Amino acid sequence: MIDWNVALKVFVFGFSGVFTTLALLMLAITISGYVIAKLSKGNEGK
Amino acid sequence: MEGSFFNTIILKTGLVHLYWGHVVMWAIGFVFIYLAVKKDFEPLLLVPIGFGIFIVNLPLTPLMGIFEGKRELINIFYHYGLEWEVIPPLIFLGVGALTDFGPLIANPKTFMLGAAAQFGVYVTFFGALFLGFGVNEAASIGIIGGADGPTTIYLTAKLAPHLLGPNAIAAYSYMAMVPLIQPPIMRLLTTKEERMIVMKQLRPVSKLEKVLFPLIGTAIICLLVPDSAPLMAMLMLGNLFRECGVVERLTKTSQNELLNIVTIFLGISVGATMKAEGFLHWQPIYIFFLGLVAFAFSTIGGVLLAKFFNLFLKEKINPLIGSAGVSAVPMAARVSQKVGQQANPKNFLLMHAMGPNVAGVIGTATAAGLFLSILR
Repeated sequence: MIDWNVALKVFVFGFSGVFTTLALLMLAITISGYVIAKLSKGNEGK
Repeated sequence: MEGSFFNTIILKTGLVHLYWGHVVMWAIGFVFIYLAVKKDFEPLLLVPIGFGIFIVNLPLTPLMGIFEGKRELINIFYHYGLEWEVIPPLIFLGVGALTDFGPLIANPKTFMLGAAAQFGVYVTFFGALFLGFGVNEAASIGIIGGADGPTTIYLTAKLAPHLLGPNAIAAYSYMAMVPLIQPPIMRLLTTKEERMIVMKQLRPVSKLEKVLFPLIGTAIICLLVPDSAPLMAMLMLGNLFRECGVVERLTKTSQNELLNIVTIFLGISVGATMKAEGFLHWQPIYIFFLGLVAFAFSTIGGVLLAKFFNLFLKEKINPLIGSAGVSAVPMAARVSQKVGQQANPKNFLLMHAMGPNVAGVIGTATAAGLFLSILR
């Protein structure tokens, strides 16, 4: 007998969890890239 | 007296214990070796897997059992390598040392394509439930859709170890068949104009960004999904070796010797799980069918999200790179490149497709971690 409650939980938390995790990683990488670019531009200016 | 001694000797040979199931398994093992040798399908894995299937189906061979409390040879590899979770993370270490995350760092929105390509994992999860598998079994079958062999093995060993053989075989077989499975789906879901889209060259990525990536990646993923840490931490450590530039010896060892050694143990251990008595049932046939479904829906997920992005983006992305979100690195990216060039011979999508391709590795390991955190 399949526990559909658990199955649904796995689907909802799982699929949205993958998106959320990778979205946060995307955000972090975008921000760090932006900061690094700014800093290196600043250093070039000096 | 002599007769009974002779009988004992005869009974101790494997010959009298042979049955048709063993012969079928030999044939399966030989097919894997044939595919590896003749067709070049994942030879590094299919040769040891095929040989493992063959030898474990020679009756009475003291290889995969436990005798007088002691594990036999391949059972030792299996126990310490797979049950103790050592081999898949070590393979991830090697993969990390081999992977250039530059295309992903240069175009971070391709992270989302890697996430979308996990769609097949969840479709197959439900498909497996409908076919009568339990929740843990369904999760281990679903992860085949991530097209990542080590992750499939890692999750299956934890959630449904009795399915290790068929799941691993399905994952590696379909990974080898990515060039056959994906192109028709990619063409079906895209117009010729979409396939012809030329993407702007990726920006150069600085060394600092590449060194920070494994640190940021480890922190975020392991904080959010701690159960994915054994895979992610090793992947990122391997990548840190590669990018920091001061541990060349460790990088080379991770990329070559270590990866090759664990691949031998992985292949033979997985093959040796496929004893006729446990393998010749309806389950492996369903798993092979579900594996195909998983790959198809993962491809669909990646391509459709890329098309969805194009509704909002000024600089359009070629939806063919979405299909590379299935992990199979770098084969899925090569398929994007090939199908793209069929529509526009001047189009070079390979580097663009590497972004979602390596994001898919992270996505699949994350999906596996989430399965573990919910189901264990």
